[in-house]
Formats: sequence, structure tokens, C-alpha cells
Amino acid sequence: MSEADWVQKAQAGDAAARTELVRRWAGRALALCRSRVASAEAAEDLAQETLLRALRELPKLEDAAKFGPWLCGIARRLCVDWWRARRRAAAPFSALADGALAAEDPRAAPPDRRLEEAEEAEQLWAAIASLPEDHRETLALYYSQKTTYQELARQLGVSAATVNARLTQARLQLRTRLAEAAR
Amino acid sequence: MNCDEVRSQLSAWLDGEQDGDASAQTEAHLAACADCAAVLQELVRQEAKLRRLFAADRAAADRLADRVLAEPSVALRSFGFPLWRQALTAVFALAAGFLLALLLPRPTPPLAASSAPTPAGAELVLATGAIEVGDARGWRELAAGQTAPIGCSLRTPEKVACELKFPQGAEIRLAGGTEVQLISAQQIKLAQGQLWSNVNASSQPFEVLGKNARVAAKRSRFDFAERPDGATVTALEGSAQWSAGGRTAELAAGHRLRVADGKAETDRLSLDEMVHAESWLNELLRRKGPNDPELKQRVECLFAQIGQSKMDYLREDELRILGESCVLPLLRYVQGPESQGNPEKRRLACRLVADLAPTWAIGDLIGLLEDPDPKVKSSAAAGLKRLTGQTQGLEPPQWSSASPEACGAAQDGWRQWWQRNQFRCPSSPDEVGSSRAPIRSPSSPDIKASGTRTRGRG
Repeated sequence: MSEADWVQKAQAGDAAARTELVRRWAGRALALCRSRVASAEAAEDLAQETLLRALRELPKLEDAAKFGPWLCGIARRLCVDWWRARRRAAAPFSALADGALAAEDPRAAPPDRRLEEAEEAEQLWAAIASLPEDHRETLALYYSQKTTYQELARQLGVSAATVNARLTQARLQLRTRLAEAAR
Repeated sequence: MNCDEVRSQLSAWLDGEQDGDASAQTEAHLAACADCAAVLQELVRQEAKLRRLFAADRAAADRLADRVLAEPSVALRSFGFPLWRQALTAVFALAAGFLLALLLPRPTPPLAASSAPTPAGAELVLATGAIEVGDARGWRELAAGQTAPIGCSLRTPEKVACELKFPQGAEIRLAGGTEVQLISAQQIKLAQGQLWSNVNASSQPFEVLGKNARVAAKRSRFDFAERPDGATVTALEGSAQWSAGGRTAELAAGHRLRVADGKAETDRLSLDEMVHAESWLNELLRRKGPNDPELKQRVECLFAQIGQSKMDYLREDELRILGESCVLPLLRYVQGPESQGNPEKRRLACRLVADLAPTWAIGDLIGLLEDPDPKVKSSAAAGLKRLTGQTQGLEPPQWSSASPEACGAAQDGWRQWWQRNQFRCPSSPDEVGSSRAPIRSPSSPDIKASGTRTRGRG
């Protein structure tokens, strides 16, 4: 059954289809919000709101095949609103320099304190934060679902070659940033 | 291919997205170019860190999905009843559950009396919630100890896993949201969901028939998932024969078959994927209690794999900085099959254990004195000397060159020493600090220190 089939069933009120969509998209919605919002806690809240809003507005979606880009659009809009609401308190994610993350956003703790290497995680998130937005988004979506370039390209509405280019550049830039941070 | 071209393709190569020719060209370049090979090496190390980072987010994603699905606006919409009626039903269900818990403090005994002949079917050994058995009369609950007869169907609700056992020896476990039909004692139809199977059949193979693939095995442990977008079969131990898309072939342990749109592909699993493939069983194993041998073995195996990752991705100085926290994984790595193909790495792991191990590892170090590798023996003896001050007549460097008789005598000495002192040592990191483990008693001259953390090697 394709994703569009699940969407149509969910639109018809099928509870199992709604559950399937939520489980399929929770990781991707979280990754997308995580790539745009510095705080792990805020990203989870925004991803939750994204999924709830998507379920609420699902009957309005006309083309079931466009569920993915439509949901990503909701997530992006919510992230923009979140930043607008915080404009006076914090700078946009992409404008933050390396190392400025923790200072600018007191809630930007390491994404998971249970990680044995919390310091490493913090460094990595800071390095990821310094990447261009489309690179960040591609990287986060790729690692959050371990999918193929083709599938990721479909979700993002770009070609597989673009996914390859973004991932390559993101990884090479991360390597440089992490090496600089280690000096 | 020049360096720029190769570097622009390194991501695709790392992710297995390059086709055969391009991949061969990249590998040829990497073999000849030290600069690009160094970049690759750094990317591989970075890759491990990124996967760890996002693995933490995957757990968060599961929690997030649970939270969203538990929202009243989502959960209650699915039934089409008014909200007040849903709420009332929930209250009654809670009250009924509470009363049942009071009235039925023990699990329901098996229906089949011991004197009765064993009914044909699969016995429900354990379940993490209520599961249902269905036939022409409809669906009803199956209690632990009861037998699901041949011909019936079984289904598990979301998040409820269960274990069933066939009298012929096959053991199956069903994940949440799974439906199967017991066609015979050797054949199961997997309609949807995920099934784990441990088969030890002497004659007829055990078969699982999915919508997209069919698997048959005599001695094997495998996992089979049927999802709307295709099937995945993972051979975890032994081998299994699969048929899909008009092909039939053997699936060796550590390999995975994926079938989608009639196309079948196999690949080798990474360490992470092997661990993840069985992670859904953890809740079932946990219910069997901490002394369940399978749970213990799984935990040991996980530690060994963590140890291997540490040895693969961290340098010696980084491991030393980790101190005691890396001892258990490295110890299980040295003791397990993961290290067998790499003697140098195994020796390094053993040296680190010898330098960093606290007193709970004494028993394991004594065990390593019987290792076939003299250098491992020597490191184990060094660790024991550091922790206890004892040598049992053979100094650590002598273990590499001493005669079998001398080694045997020293091993006997250590065994006797262990019998006398075992009660004073914690047997695992969990016991450290408990009142049952008097590690540093003034009357315990045999044991020098506990929790010693040594940075440099002597």
C-alpha cells in the first residue's frame, strides 16, 4: 500500500491509517524541526504540533500524494512562527556562530543528556547548526530515517543528485568545522 | 577519477548509493591516494558520531508518536463515539482492570492438564498484554499457558508482543500489530506485522509464508516483517532459505532480504542493524526476569558489540580517557567472537582492560589466563597483579613464554585464590558499592584497590 493510500484511508476516518502516518512521519517531522530550532525540547513540541495539525487538517488535503511536502510545509511554518515569537530573545539558528548556541539559547542543551558523549553531541549539533539550511535539513532527514537518496529526493522535491551533493558538502563541511573546534 | 571527483562522490560511496562501476573506480582511487583515504577515514569516524547522535532522536521520535497518538483529539476520534461515552468507557475499563488485578493475583494456569494429551498447536508462553485467537467463532482472548490450535489465527494489538512455542521445537515471537495463521505445526502464514522465529527442527523445516516472501529453516534464528511497502527477512543465526519474486536462495546469518514490488535484494547488516533487528524483543525478555539466560546473553552480546565499536572508532588515548566505563564492553569484546579475527586489536583491548579494570573484573581476568593467546594471558596477569598484588608464582611477562606446566600451576593457584576471595569481590559493576561486596576491607590483604583508574600503562 502506498503512502497516498494510507492518507486516503486516514481521510476516510480509518484509525489504523492515522496511526501508520503518525509513526511514519514522527521521525521526519522531528528531524525537520530539529534542523531548524536549536532547542531539542522546542523541536519536539513543534513536531508534535505539526503532526496534530496535519491530522486535524487532513480532510482539507486535496492531493493525497503530496502529503509529505504538505506536512513539511506545516513544520516549516510552525518553526518560522516559533522564531518570530522569540525574535527579541534569540537570533535565528543559521545566524549563530559556532559555540554561540548555548550562550544564545539557554534551553539548547545537548539533544539527549543520556548520551554518554554529551559533549560530543553538543559539538556536533553546533557544527550542524552552522551548515546552510538546505544541507541541515537533508542531513537531519537522512539520518533520522536511514532512507535511500531516491526516497529522500522524493520527500524533498529535488533530484537524487542534489541529495548526494548536499550530503557530501554537509559531511565535508562538518569534518572541517569539527577539526577547527578540536584545535 | 581525480581527487575532486572522488570526494564529491564519497557520500554516495559511504551510503552504498554508487553503482558497481563507479564504486570500483572510487575504491581504486582510495587505494592509491593517501589524502582521499585519510578524508574517508575521518568521514567514517564522523559517520559513527552522526549515527549515534540521530539514534537518540529516533527514540525521541517514537516517544513523540506515542504522545501524538495518545492525544484525546486523535485517540478518541477513531471510534466515532461521543467523547463523554469514551471517557466513561475508559473509567469503567480502569475500574474493571483494578478489580481483576485484585481478584486474580496469579497468572491463569494452563488449560491443558498435564495428564491430557498435548493438543496440536502453539502454546502461548508469554505476552506483554492481551492477545487474541480467532476462528470461525470469532476472536477471543488467549491466556498464557493456553494453546492456540492449528488452523486458527492469532493477532497482537499495537505494542503487545508475545511468545509461542510449538511442541516440535520452533519458538515464535510476534511484535505488536501482527496477525498470523497457524497452517500446521511447521507452517505459519504471516498476514501482517513482524515475527521472530527460533527453529531447531530435526526433520521437516519450519516455514513462514508472507505476502511477499516465503522462508524455510531447520536450524536458524530469523526475523520476518511484512509491511504494506514490502517484506524484510533478517537471518540472525544459522541460515534460512527464502523464495520471492521467482527466486530461491540461501540467506546467511547477518544478511537481510528486502522484497518490494516483486524485487528481491539482499545485503549484509551492519553491527548497529544486527542489534536493532532484535531490539523489539527486549520487552518480552525483560518480563522473563533478570536471570533469563537469553536476556543475559543478549546483554553480553550488546556489550561485546559496543566494545567492538569502541575499538573500531576510538584511539587508545581516547579509550583510556573513558576509564572504567569502557572496561565492561572491552572485556566482553575480548571474550566474545567479535574479536577473534583481529588478534592485534584484541590484545590492545585486553591491555586496556588490564590497566583500567576495577575489582569486579577479577573473575573475568582469571578466566583470561586460560586464553590461547600468550599476550592476552600476560595482560590479564598484569591486571590481576595491579588489583590484588598477587602473581601466583608467575610474573605477568613470564606468561608469554612459560611452559604449559608452569602456566597450569599458576592457573591452579589463581583458581584457589578465587575460591577463597570471590565472596569479597563484586561480581558485576552493578554490585559495586553494595553492602554485599566488601571490596576494601582492612582484613583483605589480597585485594589491593577497588575502582583503580590508571591512565598510563606500566
